[in-house]
Amino acid sequence: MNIRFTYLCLSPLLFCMATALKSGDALRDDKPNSFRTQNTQPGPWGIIEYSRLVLEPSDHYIKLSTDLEDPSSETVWAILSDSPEGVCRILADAGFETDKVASLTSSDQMVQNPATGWFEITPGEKIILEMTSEQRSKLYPQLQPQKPENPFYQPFALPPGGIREITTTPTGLSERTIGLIEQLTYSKSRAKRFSDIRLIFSETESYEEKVRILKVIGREPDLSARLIVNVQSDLPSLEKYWGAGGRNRESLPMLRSVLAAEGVDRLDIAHLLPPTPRKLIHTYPTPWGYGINTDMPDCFWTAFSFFSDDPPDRHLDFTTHVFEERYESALPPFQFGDLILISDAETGEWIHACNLIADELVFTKNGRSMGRAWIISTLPEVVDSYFNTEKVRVSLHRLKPEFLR
Amino acid sequence: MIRFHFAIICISACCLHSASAQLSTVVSEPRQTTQPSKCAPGPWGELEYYPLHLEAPDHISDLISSPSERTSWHFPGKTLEEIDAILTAALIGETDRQRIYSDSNVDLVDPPYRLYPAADIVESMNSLSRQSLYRHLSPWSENRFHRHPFIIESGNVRSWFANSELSLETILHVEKLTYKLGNSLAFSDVPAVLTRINSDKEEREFLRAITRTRSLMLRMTVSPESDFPALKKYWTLGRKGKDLMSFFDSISQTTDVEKVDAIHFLPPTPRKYLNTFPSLSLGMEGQYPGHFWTSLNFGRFNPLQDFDNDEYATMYIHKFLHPVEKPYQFGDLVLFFHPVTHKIIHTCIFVADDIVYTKNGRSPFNPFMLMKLEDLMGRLSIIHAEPGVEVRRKIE
Repeated sequence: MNIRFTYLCLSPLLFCMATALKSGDALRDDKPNSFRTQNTQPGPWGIIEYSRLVLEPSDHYIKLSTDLEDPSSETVWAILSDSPEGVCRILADAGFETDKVASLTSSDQMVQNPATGWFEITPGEKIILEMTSEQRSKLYPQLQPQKPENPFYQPFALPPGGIREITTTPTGLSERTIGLIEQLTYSKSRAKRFSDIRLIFSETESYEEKVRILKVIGREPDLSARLIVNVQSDLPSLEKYWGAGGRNRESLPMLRSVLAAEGVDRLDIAHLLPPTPRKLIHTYPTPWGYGINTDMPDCFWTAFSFFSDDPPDRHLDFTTHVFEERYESALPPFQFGDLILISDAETGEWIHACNLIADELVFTKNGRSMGRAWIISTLPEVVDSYFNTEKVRVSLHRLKPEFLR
Repeated sequence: MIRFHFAIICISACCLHSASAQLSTVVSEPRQTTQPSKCAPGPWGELEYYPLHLEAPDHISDLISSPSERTSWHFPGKTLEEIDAILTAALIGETDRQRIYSDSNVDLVDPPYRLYPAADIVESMNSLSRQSLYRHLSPWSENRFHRHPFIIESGNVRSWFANSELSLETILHVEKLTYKLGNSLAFSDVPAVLTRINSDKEEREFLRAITRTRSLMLRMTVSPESDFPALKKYWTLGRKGKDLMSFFDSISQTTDVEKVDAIHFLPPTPRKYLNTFPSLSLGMEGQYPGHFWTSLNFGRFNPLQDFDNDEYATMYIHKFLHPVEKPYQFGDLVLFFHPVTHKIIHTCIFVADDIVYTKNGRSPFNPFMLMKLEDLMGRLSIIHAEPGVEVRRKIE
């Protein structure tokens, strides 16, 4: 996730929402593995039935991963410090006991790389397996290099339910491998992260198995959602909601026709989405799709392009002025397409953005990577995924009326 | 090159009586089926579909210029004698013909002749008269509603307008004024219906309702017994469709989804537009997308505007797509051509079984839609009596 913007905005009402989210009151307490088809609350959107899907990135994308460049290499922790004592302090601050710090910094396990100046520790499998979630969450962000290809600096983001949430369907991996990933997963606030890909790779025998592991770790929970259509369906109310004040009028003929057609009991939500999210839903970015060079669509591009017929490339550059000039705080009742902004409550930095579909369902792209799909999720799931700071704020915003199409 | 010609949709005296008998049969069909229709089994899987009647949204239907309630028939290039022969063949009696000529002041005006039949004469014509006369009127663009009549593919006017805001009286009036065209019913007498409508609200509803077009909502039934590798191979178009593979794998691994809407099997661009009317932004290049644009951009993530140029599109087809025989594949181009000139008159995309993805005209009133191939043939046969058909595929 790229944090690119600084913004601080929260209405008192939404502050309550953010507080509730932090305390967990508003979060679903379903166990990940127990997910079955569910219905939203009834509302002006009707009733939406949704089922769990699990998307997996393509072989083509996974095989480009830098993790596969030297898959047999051992885990090395590279620490930037001006002295071995400084390394000891970093390890102690991360919660390692004195004897382990001494062992890890002994000349048997630690050397200084003359090229980079970093102290490089080869911790070994036993130490890595024994580490607690808290130790990982404190130490790993400090490990060098501070670049996206370093899985300690930019770990794999797992869903709030961890690896088990995305292995409810066949994986091609052994239970032992999945159990190891689960054991090595750590929490950063509510968010679940995984970095020890080298250790997992050391347990594998083939390149294909390593690819499978990366594909499974890259999986993403998605939702298949359908509007329930029956005699109680209230066309004027549904038209008002899904038409979004004129911003989504192209979907209305389909809505009207389905409600008029006897026998049709479900309408896939894709038909009700505006053109751009409808084009992208349940798919991954591709080199021939949106984006310029390596600059690919992220959550902000996605959220700000929700009602665009053709998403402007300008949204790849920055969106602060768009946000400041075109949006206003959204007050209840929240509307289809409202922009949901998740930000760091302390710094105000933007962390994530997505769009409200209905009830707690949102349309989102969680990250800039080509390994992240455009999906439907629930707001609590999205918030948990990005809940990696002390406190996050969730605020809703809406296009000003003058920007109606 | 495999070409096959469909039967001529001809209107001749000898078949008028049987056509009339068929008409009464189709109009008495039940209002609406509640069970979906099934596609034939094939590599596309177990497909079912519901007919949908798409009606242009207000911002498009408001563009319709409301015609006068006075019917006019234009006969460019015809003499009065020729016109009289046409009306006579259409079973319009001598008395009515003279009234029409008198009301139209044909003695006082120069050609081209325009006739203004009174509403009661228009209403008194039977379906066969309309078939005969309107076939003569349809070649001329001045006869707006005869050149582009409203097609009711189901042949059932009442179910076609079901759940519209039209009064039953208006629906029955439309029903009375329809005529047989191929396997469908056609309706051209918009002015005659307007004579019976007294409220502005219903007039607007009527003008919107006649934009209705029958599309399909196509769904796949999936179960643990489904052959997902075969389905994936069919629907993912090889390399071009690989962005769909994750969704396919996901569907194959869940037991919670039994029906999957076919919108998810379409490539990004048709997925974006399926069952919608063109947005204003699609007309920014100076014209709305036509059939070439729709078909040739089917597998392209970023549509190529050059396909709006008929000449370029035709060159592209002949250069990069080669004719293929059955079995057809998802994404194959179905092209219809004039039997004599071989000029391409329409293109669409083969989806599965006898279902195609098509946009029937450039107008903003023509949605991007799914259609039965035989229904599309019926529409094309209105103007081109015997189009040839050819299927082509991109040369890899």
